[in-house]
Amino acid sequence: MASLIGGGGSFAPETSIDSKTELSGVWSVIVLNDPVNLMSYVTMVFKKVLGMSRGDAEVHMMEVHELGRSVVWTGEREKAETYLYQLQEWHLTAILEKNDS
Amino acid sequence: MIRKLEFRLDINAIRPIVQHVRVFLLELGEELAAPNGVPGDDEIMSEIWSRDLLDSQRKDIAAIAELFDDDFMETGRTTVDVEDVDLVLKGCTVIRLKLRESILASIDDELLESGELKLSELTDEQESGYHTYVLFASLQELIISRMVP
Repeated sequence: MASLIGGGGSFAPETSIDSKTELSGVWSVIVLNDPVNLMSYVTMVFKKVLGMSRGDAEVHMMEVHELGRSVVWTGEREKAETYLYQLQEWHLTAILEKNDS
Repeated sequence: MIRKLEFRLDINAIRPIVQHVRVFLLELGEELAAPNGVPGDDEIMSEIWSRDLLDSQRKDIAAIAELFDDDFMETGRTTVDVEDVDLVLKGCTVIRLKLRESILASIDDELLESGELKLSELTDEQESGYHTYVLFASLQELIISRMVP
């Protein structure tokens, strides 16, 4: 993440633009499979953290289980970070990825 | 959904498990059970992120410590209140993650998941660790089925 600190002088605005570009766009929150967490636990966490219905939560849980990963949310970076932190707080293995387009 | 769940366990059978857990609880106050990916590569943010996760984990393991306190060691009885459900559920996962990456690290994922282990092929420590792993999974299943809407 680019920082404004130390940018100084005429470089500061450019750094700011770089930072904005780097963090803007659409981000995906992805949950990866792990050998420890129970299916019922993962389903419950998706319901609690992401507000999914039971059906949706089970679909994503099975995707994690069978495919090794599931995109559980997409949107702006700040909210994606919030969800990422909450999922990690529940001890799921989760990452952020920036969407290409 | 019920608001309080009481467990009664055979204290003689459970003693080695509680000993495992108590050792882990000390270690888990200092390190994350599963170091996770921090977004971006900003060092300060990374430090704050990990520190906050560790603070959160400390609350989880405190709930587990309370579950298996000295009173439990005398009576074999313990209770989970609805207010503590989230912490206890997360704490169970913390213990299982720690077991998986330490005592049970050499056991194949599929064997561990299916439960088709030959206990006779495990060391005493692994066997006790495996019983602990299963106990905390059972505890999670029970709490989720009875106390989580």
